[in-house]
Amino acid sequence: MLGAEVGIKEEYVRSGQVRLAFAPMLDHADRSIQTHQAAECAGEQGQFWALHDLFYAEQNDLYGGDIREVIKQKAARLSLDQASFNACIDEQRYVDLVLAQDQARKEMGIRTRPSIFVNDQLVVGPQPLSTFTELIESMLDQ
Amino acid sequence: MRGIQLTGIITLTTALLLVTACGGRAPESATSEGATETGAVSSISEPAAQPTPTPVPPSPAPEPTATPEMASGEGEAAEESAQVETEPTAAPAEAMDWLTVSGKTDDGYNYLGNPDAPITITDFSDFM
Repeated sequence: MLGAEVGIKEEYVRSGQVRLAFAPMLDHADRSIQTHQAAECAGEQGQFWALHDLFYAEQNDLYGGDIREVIKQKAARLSLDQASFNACIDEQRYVDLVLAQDQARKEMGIRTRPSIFVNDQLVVGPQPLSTFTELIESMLDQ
Repeated sequence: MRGIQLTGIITLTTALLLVTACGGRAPESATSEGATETGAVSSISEPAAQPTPTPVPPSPAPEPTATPEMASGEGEAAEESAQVETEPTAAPAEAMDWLTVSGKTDDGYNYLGNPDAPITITDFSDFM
């Protein structure tokens, strides 16, 4: 969702009209697994969305180097208990969870990235903010 | 004799009339309404005419429109109409910044915002 997400957050999430949820798609093998489970580790300390936003903002960095080290370095810039976070990464605490969620989306037939559900309405692929705005407004009018 | 009798009769009749006119519990007064309200249609103080009134007075507030109560004075309100109305009481939902709220959906996904929002957007995606 990326670019549209910022606008959706400001226009609709902030005001309470829309709740925004994020579900993993593990399309890049271990790098995906590690980044998604790292976000869960950050979520233990209320920093899921902070790390989510940071990963998207610095996406290119996720493709190179030791992914666990890259993750730890990025998380160090957040308001986290670093030791707890690193322990979570080292334990691979949420690997099973993200794998299970990924499996669930495959069973739902979700293949294209991103796939975005606006309530039950599916929007496939990157879309401009206007696409979501129109859909949201029509739903709110109902 | 006759005069006395006549006087007596007249007196009696007058008395009867008076009693009838003043007495509240009368079968006469009840008939017109069917008095569903309180069983006791007493209204002692009110003479015959229309028994209706007392039992359930219409609610004192004639459809309050909030505004008249809010305004501290009409003059002030008039002046303020050109300006922003800020007076009043607590600002309702606008004070809440839902971007500070997060949690887990029933499916175990992380969410941001109002858990009771009418719309949920679920983004299936990867960080890469």
